[in-house]
Amino acid sequence: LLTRSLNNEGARLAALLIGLFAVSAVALGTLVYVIAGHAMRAELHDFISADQGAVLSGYRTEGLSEAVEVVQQLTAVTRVAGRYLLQDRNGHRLAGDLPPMPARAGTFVLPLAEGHEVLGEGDLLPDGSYLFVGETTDRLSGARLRILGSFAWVVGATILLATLVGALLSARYLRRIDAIIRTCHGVEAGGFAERVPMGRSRGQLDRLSMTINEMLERTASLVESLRQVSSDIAHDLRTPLTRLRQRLERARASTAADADAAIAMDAALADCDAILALFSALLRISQIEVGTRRASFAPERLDVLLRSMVDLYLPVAEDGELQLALQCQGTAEELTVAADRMLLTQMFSNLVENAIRHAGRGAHIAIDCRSLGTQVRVQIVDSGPGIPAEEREKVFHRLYRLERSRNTPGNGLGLALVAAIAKLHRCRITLGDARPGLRVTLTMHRLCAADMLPTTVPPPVEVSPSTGAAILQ
Amino acid sequence: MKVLLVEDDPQNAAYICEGLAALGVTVEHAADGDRGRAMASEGHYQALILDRRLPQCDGLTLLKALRAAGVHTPTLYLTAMDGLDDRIEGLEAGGDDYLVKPFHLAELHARLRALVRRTGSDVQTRLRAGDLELDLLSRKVSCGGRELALLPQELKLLEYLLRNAGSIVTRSMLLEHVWEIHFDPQTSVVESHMSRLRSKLGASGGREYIRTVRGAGYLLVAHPLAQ
Repeated sequence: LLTRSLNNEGARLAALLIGLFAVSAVALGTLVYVIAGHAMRAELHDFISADQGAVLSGYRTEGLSEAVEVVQQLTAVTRVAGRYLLQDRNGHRLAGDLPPMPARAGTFVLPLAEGHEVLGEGDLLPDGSYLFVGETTDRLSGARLRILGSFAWVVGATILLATLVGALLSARYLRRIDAIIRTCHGVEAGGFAERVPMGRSRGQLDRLSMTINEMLERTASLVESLRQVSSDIAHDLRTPLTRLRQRLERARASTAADADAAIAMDAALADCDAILALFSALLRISQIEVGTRRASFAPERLDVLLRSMVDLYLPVAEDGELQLALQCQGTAEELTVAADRMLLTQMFSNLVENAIRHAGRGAHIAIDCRSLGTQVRVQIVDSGPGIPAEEREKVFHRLYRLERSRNTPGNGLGLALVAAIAKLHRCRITLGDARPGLRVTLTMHRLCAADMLPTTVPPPVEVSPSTGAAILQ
Repeated sequence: MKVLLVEDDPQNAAYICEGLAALGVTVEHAADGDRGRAMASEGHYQALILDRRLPQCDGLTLLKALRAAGVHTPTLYLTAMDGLDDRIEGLEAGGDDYLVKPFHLAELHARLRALVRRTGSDVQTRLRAGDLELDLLSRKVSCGGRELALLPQELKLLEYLLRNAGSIVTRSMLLEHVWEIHFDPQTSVVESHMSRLRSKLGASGGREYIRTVRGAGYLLVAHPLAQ
C-alpha cells in the first residue's frame, strides 16, 4: 500500500495539500505569536511607566522620603511580589521588595530565583540613589505558552483536516483514474464494448472520460466495419470462386479421357485453391491483428500443447529422416500462459512445419520449453540452412519469401501469421543463428492468478468412451 | 439417406443436389430461410445442410429457431465465411459441423455420413469392425486375434476410423476430430500417421484394413471374422 501511495498521483497531490496547509498554519501562528508578544510587552511597559512616573514625580516634588513612601505604598498593594526597589547611594535598600543590586539604568530583564524574571526599568536619581520598577514576565510567558498551545492544536487540526480532505479527494480521483485504466485494459484485451463510467460534473476528468469514450466508440465501429467488410469480402469473393471451382470440377469430370486438358484443369483447380488459401490467410491475419480474440483467452499449458505438437509431427519428421525432440523444464503452473489454443497451436505448427520443410533430410529439430522467472521461453532450433541475418526481420512481413524458397510450396504468409499470433499473445519472437541452422525464440509472460478468473478454466479435453473421439467442440 | 439443403445460390444448390444425388443421397432443396424452416419442421430428414447467409433469415437464426422448436436433425453449415469466430458461433447456435466454401463434394458427403452416424449409438464401450476390435475402456486393440500395441495418437485415429467404419473419412475430418486442428497443415501429417497405423494393423487375407480413396480420404474396411 505504501509503495502504491508513493507511486500514485493522488497521494502526491494530497501530500502537497497537507504541506501547504501546514506551512500556512505555521506562518499564521508565528505572526500571531510575534504580534501578541509585542502587544503584551508594550502593556507591561505601560504598567511599569505608570508606577515609575508616580515614584519619580513624588521624588521631584518632595524628595527622596516621598519617593520611599510611594514605593512602600506600591509594594504594599501589589499582588505579585518582587517588583520594586529603591536603594541609597551605598546600595542599602530604602523601600521595595527586591534585594539590593548594582545600579543599572535603562530597560532590562532581571533574573530572580526559581527561573522567574522581572522586566523593568532602572533610574539613577540625582542624589545617587537608585530606583527599579519592574513587572514579572510570568504573565507574558504564560500567555506565550497558551498561544503556542492553541496554535499547536490549530496546526494539528489543520493537518488532520488536510489529510482527510486529501485522502477523500485523492481516493475519488484515483477511483476514476483506475476506472479509466481498467476500461483501457479491457479494450486492449479485446472487449471493445467497454466504456469509461461518466461522472456528473463537467470537470477535466469527465472531459477526459468523454474523449476516451468517443475514441473507443470510433475504434469499436472501425473494428465492427472491418469485421463486416471481412465477412462481405469473404462472401462476395468466395461465391464466384466457388462457382469457378465447381465449373472446373465438372469440366474436369467430362474431360477425363483427354489427358492434356485434364492436366490443365487440375492445374487451374490447384490455382483456384491457392487463391482461396492465400485470401483466407490474409483475412485471418487481419482478424487476428484486430485483437478481439484476447477476450476469449484461457489458461493453456505450453508443455502439453508442445507435446501434442511433437506427437502430431513426429511421424512426418521420421518420414523425412529428421529428428524431432522436445524438452520441457518447469512446473505445470510455471508453463501456463493465457492463450487462444487454436491460434497458439497454429503458431507452433507453422514454426515446426517450417523447420521440417526447410531443414532438410538428416537435420535435428529441438524444441525447448522452460520457465525463466515470470516468463516462459520456447526455442525451436533446427540444424538446417537458417535465415541470413539481414532477412530475419523481413520474413515476418506478409508475402515475403526467401530467394531460395521461391520454388517450394507456400504462400509467404506462414511467418506473417506467426508474427500476428505472437503479437496477439504479447509474445516476443526473435530469429537467431543456431550455427548452423535457425533458432526461433519465443518469450511470453506466464499466467498469474490475478489475470484470469477460475471460471474461465476450460474443462480438460479428454476423450471419453461414451462421446467418442473429440466431437467438434 | 435423405437430406434437406437450404441454399439461396441456384448454381451452388444445383451443384450440391446433382453431386449428392450421384452419390446416392436424396436431396430436397429450399431456396430461402422461411421455406427451409417450414420444410425442416415438417419433413423427416436425416440431416440438414444450411447456408450461413440466406435472404430473409440467416442460417444461425434459422437453426436457433429450429432447435428451440425441438427439431434436432443433425445440421451441417455451409459457409463462405471462415472467420475465427464464425465456426464457434455456428456450433454454439446448435450446428453439428461446419464446412467452408468451396468444398469437395466428397468432403460434404463424408461429413454428412459421419453426422448421420454420430447421432445413432453413443453409449458404446467396444468398437468393432469385422475382426478388428477396440475396447474403449482398456484401450486395447485386437486385430484378427492378435493384440496390438498402439500409441495414444494411433488409438485416437483408429477409434475415429472405427466409428465411421465403412464410410469415407476425409483428411480435414481426421485433423479436426483426432488432432483438433482447424487449419490446413503444409506437411503430410495425416498421411504419415495413417501409414504407421496401417503397417501396425497389417493385412488380413491379402486385404488391407485401411484403404485410401483417391481424392477423397480413407476408408476402414471390415474383414469378416475368421471362423
